Amino acid sequence: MLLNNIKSLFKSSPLWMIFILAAQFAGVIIIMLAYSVYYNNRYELEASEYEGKRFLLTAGGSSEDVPLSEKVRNAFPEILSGYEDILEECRISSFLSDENGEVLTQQEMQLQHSIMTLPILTFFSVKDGRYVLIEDPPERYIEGRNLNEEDFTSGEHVCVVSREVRDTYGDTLDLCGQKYKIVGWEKEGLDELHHLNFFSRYMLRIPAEALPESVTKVEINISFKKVLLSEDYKILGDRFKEAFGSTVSDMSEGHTINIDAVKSLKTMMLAVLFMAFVSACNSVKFFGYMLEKRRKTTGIYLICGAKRSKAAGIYIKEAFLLQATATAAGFLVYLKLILPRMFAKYEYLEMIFEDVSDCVLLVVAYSALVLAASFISVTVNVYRTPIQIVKKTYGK
Amino acid sequence: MFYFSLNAMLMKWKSVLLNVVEIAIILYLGVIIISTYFLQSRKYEPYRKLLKSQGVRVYFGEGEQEEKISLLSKVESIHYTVTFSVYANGVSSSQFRLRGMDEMMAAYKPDMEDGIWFADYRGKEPLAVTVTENPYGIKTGDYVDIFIDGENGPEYVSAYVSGVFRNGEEYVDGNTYKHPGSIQDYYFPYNSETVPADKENPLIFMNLEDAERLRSNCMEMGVYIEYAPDITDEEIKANEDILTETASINTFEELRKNSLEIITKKIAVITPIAVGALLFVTMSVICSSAIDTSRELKNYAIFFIHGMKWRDIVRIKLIEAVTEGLLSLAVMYIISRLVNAAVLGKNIVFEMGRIQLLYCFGIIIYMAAVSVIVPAAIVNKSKPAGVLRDAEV
Repeated sequence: MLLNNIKSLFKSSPLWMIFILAAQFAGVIIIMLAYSVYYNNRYELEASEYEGKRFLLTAGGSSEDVPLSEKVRNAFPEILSGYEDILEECRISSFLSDENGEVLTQQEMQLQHSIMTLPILTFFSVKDGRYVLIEDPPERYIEGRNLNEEDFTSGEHVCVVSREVRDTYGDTLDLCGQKYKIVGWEKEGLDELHHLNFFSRYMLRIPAEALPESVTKVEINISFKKVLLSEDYKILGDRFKEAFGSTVSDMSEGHTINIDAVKSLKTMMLAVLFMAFVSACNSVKFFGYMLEKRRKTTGIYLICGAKRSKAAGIYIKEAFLLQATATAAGFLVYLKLILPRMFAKYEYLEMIFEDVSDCVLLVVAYSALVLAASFISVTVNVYRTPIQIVKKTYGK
Repeated sequence: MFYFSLNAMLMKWKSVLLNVVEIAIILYLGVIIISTYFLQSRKYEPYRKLLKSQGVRVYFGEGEQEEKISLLSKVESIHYTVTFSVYANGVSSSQFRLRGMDEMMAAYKPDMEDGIWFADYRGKEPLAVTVTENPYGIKTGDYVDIFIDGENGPEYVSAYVSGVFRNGEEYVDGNTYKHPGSIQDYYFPYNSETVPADKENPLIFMNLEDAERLRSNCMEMGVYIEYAPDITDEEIKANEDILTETASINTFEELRKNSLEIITKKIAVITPIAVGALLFVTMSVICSSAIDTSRELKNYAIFFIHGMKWRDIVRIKLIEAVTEGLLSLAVMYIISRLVNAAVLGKNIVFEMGRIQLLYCFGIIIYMAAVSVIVPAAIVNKSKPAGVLRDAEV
């Protein structure tokens, strides 16, 4: 019956039916377009302002209470929950306060380790007060052995050090009252470039589990596989602050996003919201008009004993079927034909459309709005007495 | 005829209301989109005229500005800001950064949290300033006492606060290095919530002349030097040789080109949505008009049978369309006020300039034209008897 009704509608009013379908189809395309442009621009903006995929956080300070390594480790799963899938790497650098040797404090020896499982690809090192990206030393640059996964999981007190540290301390390093066996050290005769790349002068690598409790400052560097938005920075920053107290500062502090860009994006989104509203208004008109043309049919349904809810149900099902078809067509046309052509110009679109669930949700919400508008038309037209309907059709 | 149209509109008030709201939203939509387009060039606008002339922007080394400028030939005008720290309201801990801006630079009007930008102040107060959000409770309408070193010892100058600068807005400052070699590079965001320096040292903006009266020799290092129109290539070269000895320069031509490139890129990014909106609006207007006409076709046929001409019917439709359009303008104004009142308003660009007004009247005329053309197209193909017969089927 439903399909027959739609068929007869197409036969009797082909132009209006095309209008209804085209309006919904165009609405979906515009909503998707706006979604794509909006998120692409947001990612572009955030990537340029916040260095994109990195979240850097400093906790503690030389004269303040410090987060202990165990606390750091225990807090991490909760802090990063919801972000595990896009987490690439997480690293902590700690400055030590040494009870026994002056070397660590005086020369700002930095302890480096990872709380995540191996493989660790990169490390940071302090040199002249600046952070310099260095590669994890390959085996060929090391005498002895490199750290391995077992060291990290067991918390073995072992370390890999630069040649200077090895020359100074020999086989064992005394850190904060704990002894660490030097299992690997920088190979002799490395050229300057390799030396700078893999070993700062006073650098140690220690498994996270073996980190001494007494650290004065922790720097946490998290890399993600995709660009974060400012709300993600806020969520992560708040979680860290909650876990470690007010001494935490994150890299979003001190940054301000270009206000004009934000305004443009928000204004465009408001424009799209209004477009959806206009589309809903159009839907009320279209369905209202179609139902007006079918008043006689409605009157016959009611006179023949159909309940109003049943009559309304028929029209709502028709509206749903028409809109679902147009929505699906718009969605597919956008995904298969329009979107691939946009990839070249909008660099974050591929990343955004890796997961289309948000997008589907948006389109469903939009369709629900339009359907609700159609529902108003149906209700207004059907919930009249048969006499009212006849009067409306033929006049008093 | 007008009375007749109004009566007709009252008879179908629900449909008219829906139309008015829809058109109002379409107008609002267009205005905010046009405003967004203008927003992309608002940083460039104050410099547009200057950058069409010949000249350079120079970033001088510390303290060498005046000496170098005096060596240049055929200098038409110089534009710069001055900046220095002052104490305000007698609190030695409240150190403000005072920024004096010449007319051209003050022409960039940031959004205000409250009140108006100092350059727009037309009141009786001799010295008006704008302050940024500050922890000292200085707000619009207050007087701020600025401490200066006078000839006869310390003095206080009282300034009227015409407005408070909104957090997150940008002001003319040194390079940000985000868009090198463009005007956009010289705007810096102020944010007392996330930048500790902004919180500790709020800004006071005032006229360049007033600022220089407080303290001279505080010219900022970034200076715009406009050459006279009759300057020769050799003189330009000689000037540049003098300047580039110690300073870095950007010619006005470079700045113009780079700035316009940035604007074009930004506009290109928002264009798909704007084009989509335009197509959508066009389609909506045509469909609405067609539905309305179809609904009223029976009435038109009756009017016709009673002696009215099709031309008169089209006139009635025209009057209805124009009235609806004008009502929509009023509703659009209400919508804009509502959006502004909501939190959203702070980040929504809505400006009613000349182009925006043109757009609104353009849409009203377009709607009127469609409401004439569509009925004409429908009724011309129909005969009154046929229309009435169809309506009864």
